[in-house]
Amino acid sequence: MRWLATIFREVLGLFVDDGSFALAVLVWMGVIWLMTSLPRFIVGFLGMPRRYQTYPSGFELDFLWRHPLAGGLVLFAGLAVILAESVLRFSRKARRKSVPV
Amino acid sequence: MSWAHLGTSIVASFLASFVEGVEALTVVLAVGSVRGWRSALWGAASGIAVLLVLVLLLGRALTRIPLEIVQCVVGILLVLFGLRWLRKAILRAAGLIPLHDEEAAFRKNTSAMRTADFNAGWDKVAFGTAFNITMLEGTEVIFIVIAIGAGGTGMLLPAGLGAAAALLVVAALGFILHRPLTRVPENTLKFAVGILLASFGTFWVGEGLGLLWPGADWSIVMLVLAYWGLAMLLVRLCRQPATLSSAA
Repeated sequence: MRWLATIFREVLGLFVDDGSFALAVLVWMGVIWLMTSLPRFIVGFLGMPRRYQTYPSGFELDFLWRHPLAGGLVLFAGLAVILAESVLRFSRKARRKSVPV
Repeated sequence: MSWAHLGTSIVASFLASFVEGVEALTVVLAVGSVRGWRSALWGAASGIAVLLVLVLLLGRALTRIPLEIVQCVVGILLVLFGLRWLRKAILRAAGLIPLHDEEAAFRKNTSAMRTADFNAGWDKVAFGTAFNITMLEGTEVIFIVIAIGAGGTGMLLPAGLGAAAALLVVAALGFILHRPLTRVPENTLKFAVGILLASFGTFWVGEGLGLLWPGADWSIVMLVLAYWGLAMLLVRLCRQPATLSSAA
């Protein structure tokens, strides 16, 4: 079974080297998924018929997320902030290590 | 399928496979020059054969899964993979972590090969080392090709062609030079590939979730520019304080 653990470790290493960075990326994509689907889940839960795709256009529940200038940009902006925070955090840590107080 | 999609797929696949190929070549050259070429080349060839079977199996399986699910899952993996590479490349470009040195890797591997037991005839150490490194770096190539190829119908072929071209170039250079490719600007390539893969990943996650992108496929180019701008800014921000502290 050791070879299986080695393969798992190697494959995981392709995607994750800083756990908190990878987790933040996953959480952000989860948030986007929730925000795109939550309105439909809520109104469906409250009894609205689920075939929302047959509604006239004025009844679109996720207008903001399906607007070309909203959804994609919000997704990118979140990922950009996570990348910037991770790089700057590493940079601050490296500087603290290199300059003894 | 637009040229924005097709062109970036081929370039991303070529550059990523080239970087991985160079890393594998360094180890195979180290093994071959110390332990003999027969076992080293057999090891590398066996690794490539196993990887080809994996591509055929995975590629066929992927066509049976609905495109939106594939785009979403592959997009998430690409974002993780691409941003990991980009983050590392930014930190390297800013001088916060050391650059990858093929010459040093070659020296380390040749000395390790010299100390290992020699076997007359079939050399298991040489075969195993060449096989392992080909499998390891090749798995990354396969993932990149499949991930890029999963973005739409008929995308696997251009992605595969990009990777095959890169591997041919690396193999030809290794055959001609017989030494590691130390002059390849590996961090610059990783920087570019990180940007491309993160852009593809972001686009596909959005597509998978049903988000609309301004300019449809052309927004991949916008994402590439945006990630590039952000990366350059971060390199500057991380470099500046170091310069100030060293000046002080």
